[in-house]
Amino acid sequence: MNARHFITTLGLMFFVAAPSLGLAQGKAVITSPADGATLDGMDENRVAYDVVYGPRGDHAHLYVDNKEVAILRKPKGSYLLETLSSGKHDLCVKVVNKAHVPTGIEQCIQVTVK
Amino acid sequence: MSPENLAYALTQVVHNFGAVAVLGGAVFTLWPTPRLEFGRTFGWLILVAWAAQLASGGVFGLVSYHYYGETPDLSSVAMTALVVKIVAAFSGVLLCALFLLRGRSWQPEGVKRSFQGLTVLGVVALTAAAFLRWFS
Repeated sequence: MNARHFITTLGLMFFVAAPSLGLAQGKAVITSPADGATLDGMDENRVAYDVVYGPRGDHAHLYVDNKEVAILRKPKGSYLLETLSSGKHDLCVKVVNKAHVPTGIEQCIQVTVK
Repeated sequence: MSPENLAYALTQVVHNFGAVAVLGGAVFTLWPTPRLEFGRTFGWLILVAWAAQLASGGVFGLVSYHYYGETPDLSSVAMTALVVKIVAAFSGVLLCALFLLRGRSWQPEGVKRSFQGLTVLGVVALTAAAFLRWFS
């Protein structure tokens, strides 16, 4: 195997292996409400978050019951939720890349609205 | 240089030049001076450009799938914009193909209307692209 073939092979290996690199860096934390909290449906309810994008992230998305409801362009802040119906709801903050693909860094909590 | 970003960037190059060609080609055929006699040449250019738009759009999804195992998460506004773009692209391909297959027998007014239609499709697609970019 000559040097050119070796470099090409090495490059291809890196390209194929790249999906598994760097996924674990960064963090997404929902600082408020707490997981399992009970919210008053008549109150203004905010989701506060703190995100570190990591090497592959660009911004974050907020989801309520798996539906994207907001684009979070600041790494730390809060978002005022629209009125939620009574019952259990899933809230998730996910770091996404420039193409809006979740990078795997996320936190999801469940709240109950009364 | 991250191979992921390189893959997205190279795909974006094709997508950007495709966008220039679909709109620029149609506009240049009509304005500032009509160049309908070169309609077939521009028709081929615009056909290839729309095909490149469709292909590179699909490749964006494939790159995401390769690196993350899923396609982009789009809001309802962004998803609507994406559908508008896809419909515009397929309409552009169909209109170009129709013109290239049958346009020889068309009157100049019909050729002009075809390129006006292609211009509108280009404007619609580029407008939708902006909403897709910023509402995701």
